Amino acid sequence: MTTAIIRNGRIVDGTGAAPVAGSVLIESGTVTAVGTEADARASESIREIDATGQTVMPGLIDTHCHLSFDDAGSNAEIFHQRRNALSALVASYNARKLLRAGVTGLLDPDFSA
Amino acid sequence: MPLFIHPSPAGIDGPAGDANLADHDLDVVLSFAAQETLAVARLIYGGVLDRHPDLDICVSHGGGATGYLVGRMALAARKRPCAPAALRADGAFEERLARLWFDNHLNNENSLALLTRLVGDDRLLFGTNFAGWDAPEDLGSHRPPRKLADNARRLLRIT
Repeated sequence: MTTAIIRNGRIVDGTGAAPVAGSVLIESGTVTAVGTEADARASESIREIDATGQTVMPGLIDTHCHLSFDDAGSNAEIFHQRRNALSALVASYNARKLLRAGVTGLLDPDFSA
Repeated sequence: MPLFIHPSPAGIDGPAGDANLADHDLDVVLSFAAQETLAVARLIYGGVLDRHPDLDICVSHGGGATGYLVGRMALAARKRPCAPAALRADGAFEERLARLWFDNHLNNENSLALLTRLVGDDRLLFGTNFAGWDAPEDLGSHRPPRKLADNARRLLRIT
């Protein structure tokens, strides 16, 4: 499980509160402190992640996704006629796109993650 | 592991689709909702939820036309001779309906409000149809209630 401190990020806590700048401490995979407390509690040898210019937030959950869809010529193509290899390529591209948008959990009728 | 139910248009390996749904994308626009509503009805009338009380089932597109037809389906469960005995009690159908999960992808605030009023918001989930034709273009305008995040964590056992 990850233990690290994320520094210099723009922290969005998901409660609707305004973003704040600061650090987030993660210990054994769990967020345990935010802000000055995170800096104070982090050991000198802890793994540091510099999030300058980036946003730190809880992972989003999108319960209706189609990773293997793109601008296909017809519904029949994307639902029935697409070859598995192309579906895998499109899904790989879309998974990265979702991850970059902050989505870490999803439901997909063709895949689960 | 939850079960996510999502319809598909008639396929090349299956029976031909209804000719009335062959153009204007009606197989997707209307038939999807019909199939989702049918799934809800069969899961409840067929006793699936009674036989598998721990099974989590999420129905796409807010359950299709379920919100609009819940009253008729519940009435049939109470009054029609073919309805199973377990569904005859007042509220029995609605109680089972509230054990299903629904995404909020209904493309209309009033439709979503209707569904929420009828089945509650304990099992309502945020879903966008990402990569589909009707995924929202501007997520910045989406401000789903915080409860939807709590619901998703509960469904996916994320602590």
